[in-house]
Amino acid sequence: MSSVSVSEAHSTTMKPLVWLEIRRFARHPVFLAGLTACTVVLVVAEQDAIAHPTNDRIGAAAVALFIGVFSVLAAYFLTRSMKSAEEILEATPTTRPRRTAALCATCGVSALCAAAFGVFGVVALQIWPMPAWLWGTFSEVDLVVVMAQQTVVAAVGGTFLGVAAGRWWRFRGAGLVLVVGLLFWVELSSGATAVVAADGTWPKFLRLFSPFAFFQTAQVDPTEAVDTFPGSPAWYLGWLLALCALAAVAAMLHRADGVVRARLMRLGPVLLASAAAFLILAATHGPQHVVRSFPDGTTTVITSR
Amino acid sequence: MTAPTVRLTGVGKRFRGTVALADVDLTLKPGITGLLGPNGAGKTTLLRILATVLRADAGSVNLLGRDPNAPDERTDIRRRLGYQPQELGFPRGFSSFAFVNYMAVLKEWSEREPRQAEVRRVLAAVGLGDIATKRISRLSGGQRRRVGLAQALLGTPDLLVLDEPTTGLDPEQRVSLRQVLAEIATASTLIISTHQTEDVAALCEQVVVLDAGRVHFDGSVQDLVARAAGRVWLADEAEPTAQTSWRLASGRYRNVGAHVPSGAELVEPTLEDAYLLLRGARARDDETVPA
Repeated sequence: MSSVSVSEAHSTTMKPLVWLEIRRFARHPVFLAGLTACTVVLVVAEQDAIAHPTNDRIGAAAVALFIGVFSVLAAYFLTRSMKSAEEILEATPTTRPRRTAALCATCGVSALCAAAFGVFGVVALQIWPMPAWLWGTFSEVDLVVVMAQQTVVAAVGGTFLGVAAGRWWRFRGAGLVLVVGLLFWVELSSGATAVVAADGTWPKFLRLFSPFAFFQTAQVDPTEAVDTFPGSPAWYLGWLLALCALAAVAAMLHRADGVVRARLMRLGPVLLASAAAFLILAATHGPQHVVRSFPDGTTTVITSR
Repeated sequence: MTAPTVRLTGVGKRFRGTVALADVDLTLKPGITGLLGPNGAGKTTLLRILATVLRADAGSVNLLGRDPNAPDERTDIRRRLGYQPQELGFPRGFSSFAFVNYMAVLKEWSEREPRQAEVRRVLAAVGLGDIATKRISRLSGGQRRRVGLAQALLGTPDLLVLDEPTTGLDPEQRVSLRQVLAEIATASTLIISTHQTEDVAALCEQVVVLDAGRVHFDGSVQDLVARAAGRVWLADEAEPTAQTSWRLASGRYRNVGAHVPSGAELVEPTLEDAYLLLRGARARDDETVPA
């Protein structure tokens, strides 16, 4: 083993480690609980939706909650699970940032599950279509982008956030604090501003500052109207991806040294600036006012001024 | 002459103002070195520095010809290092095999077949081959320590650092462990911290006695034992002037001390006698230090 070069060893070590961590994540009781709950909720919701169509057929909020939030907890517990053996892990040639990177790679499991639920929703829509006006003023690209945000990106970001918290937060109950904080962030940013003066400058920024945002009123049935909220779904996706990358960098920064630390420290400000730029672009592009769509196909712009 | 694999010069370490190690010079070559000392002597701190999990505050550390403070060189050292800490916890849900396999992956055993063969080899070497799939949480304390030892033995490391490896082992397991370590020591450098002087006497060529963070003896086991020659005697009563006395099963008293009464029945000293004598000398030195 001593004759193995550093780069050669690194390239060969990650694959089995990633596989081990993926298997641990996929078998984690918290993740399995989220997966089961998501399956039950979506199957029940789909049965209801066939009889009473709504614009929440894909059930993205359920995926974000049961896959995204449960992945936060599963990744957090998985990261903390090795705490007791930390001293011998530190004495191995696989550095902590590489171990963290392997843990981050478990996002593949949650992303795959979230994508599967998304595909399930899309297939269900093909079989039991719903009125087009329920999608508001979204283009097909917008729909795909929003679906990706609320399913796959939520799952990936949740996993990264859980790993980052597992590395940096060492107090008892940190996992619970993390989830409550995350839900509070979403509720404060998205929930509180979604209806009230949604087209005002600051409410718009605050709504999109959230790691999960609705772009139209949810759970609308065919007799009501649907509101499409201001902002660009595509740029908002950029903001979310920047947040994901920041969480991953924060996780890997823990006890990193040498070249790795220097690289991560350079990457951090770039990602922060990118995140800020994406947020500004998301708020200043796309529709700037709420657009209300009606069952007869007409739309009207709603302004708070 | 064999080149040293460990060279420490003037090494110091402090924890919030408490001196854990002070000006430690140490040279280790292939073979087994025993590290003796009372609790709080700095043994674990020294071993953690040798295992690259702790950095020295002062002095220079050279392990396997490399500097552990340089990240790339530290990684290279860790490729050739085995470490069993004093207290080792295990993640929940792991079996012995799964845990040692996980460690083998971290030690860059990338290919599945040779890795699993190596895991089976080390588990068999520590006598856990038959219960490799049993969850660690269901193993006894001694068996858990052997899981910790098994992971340290992966890849037959060039430098093996073991902190109290015999704690919790029964006599048969200890003998078995000695056999395993003696075999490894033919090509590797082993340093073992222990309170069991009989393990050091049975295994080690070199012994280092650490007290209050300083090296008080560094030499061969024979040299340390020789220091107690003529200072251990048997008597029918405990000798008040002896440094230490204890009653033997025969009913007589074994006395260890610097001042031997005339006509005393001298006996061959053991490593334990020599260690106690050294410790007593150290305690007397402390008492004579002016306030």
